[in-house]
Amino acid sequence: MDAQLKKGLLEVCVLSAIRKEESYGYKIISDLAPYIEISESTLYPILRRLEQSGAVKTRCTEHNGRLRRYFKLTPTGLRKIEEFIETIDEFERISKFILQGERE
Amino acid sequence: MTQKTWEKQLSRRLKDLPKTERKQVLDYYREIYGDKLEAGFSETEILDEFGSPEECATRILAGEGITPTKAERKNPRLSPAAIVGMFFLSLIFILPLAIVALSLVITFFALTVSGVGIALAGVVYAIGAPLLSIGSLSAAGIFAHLGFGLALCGVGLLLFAAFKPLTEYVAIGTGKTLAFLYKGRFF
Repeated sequence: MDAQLKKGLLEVCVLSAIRKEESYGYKIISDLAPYIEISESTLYPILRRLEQSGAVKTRCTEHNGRLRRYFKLTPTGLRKIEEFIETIDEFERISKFILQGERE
Repeated sequence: MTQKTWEKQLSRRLKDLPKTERKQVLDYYREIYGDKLEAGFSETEILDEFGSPEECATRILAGEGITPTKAERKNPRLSPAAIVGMFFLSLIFILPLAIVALSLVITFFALTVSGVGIALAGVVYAIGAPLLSIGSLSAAGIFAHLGFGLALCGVGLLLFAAFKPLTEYVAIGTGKTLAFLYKGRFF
């Protein structure tokens, strides 16, 4: 997959992974693994970017004597997801056009 | 590799990041490491999945907008002043030491070779002297020559046995030390 496209998709995937409830690094990766390839080193910059843009909020808690950082979706983050969903229609029209060219 | 060394190497490669951010990255990996351990993965499995510290650092730094090459370069480019300084430093300290080490190697090598020479001379003497003096010497005299020759041979072998490994140790040790000191310094 094109790197730019994947980067955008991954951001929305991560946001969706914490939509229902806050989550942490390992769980986000495990939840996304069946749908999209993501490694620890890919997730980190995405989380940082999302935090800096205000799409997620973080908090640290203790878990089994060690620290765990939880990520929570903010209204800004939710808007990002909704914006993406709106573009899916557009995607469909474009992909239809591309597939048409393939068939002819 | 253990998790500790992995983390240390990652930290070293992230030295271009501000301290707090670097700590955040290390905390992040440590947290996932802990979670994966709890999930039943082994240390090796987890580190394999993380990938090498270099790869991780490259990705993290790229995410921060830092060109990875800058942080990854093992031998930072030295300023001309530093190169001149190091040149004189090596002239004052390293060069004399290298000369001493080299002299030692030559001396030990010479002693090793002389050990071989003495041993050979001993053998020649032990055989030659009794042969040449057959008829003119008593049996005791012949045995005395034989004994002296064998003793000489023994001394030679001892010299050889003692100095051959010494020569090798010093030569290899010096070579390695110099290679370490100058690794990529001037190139």
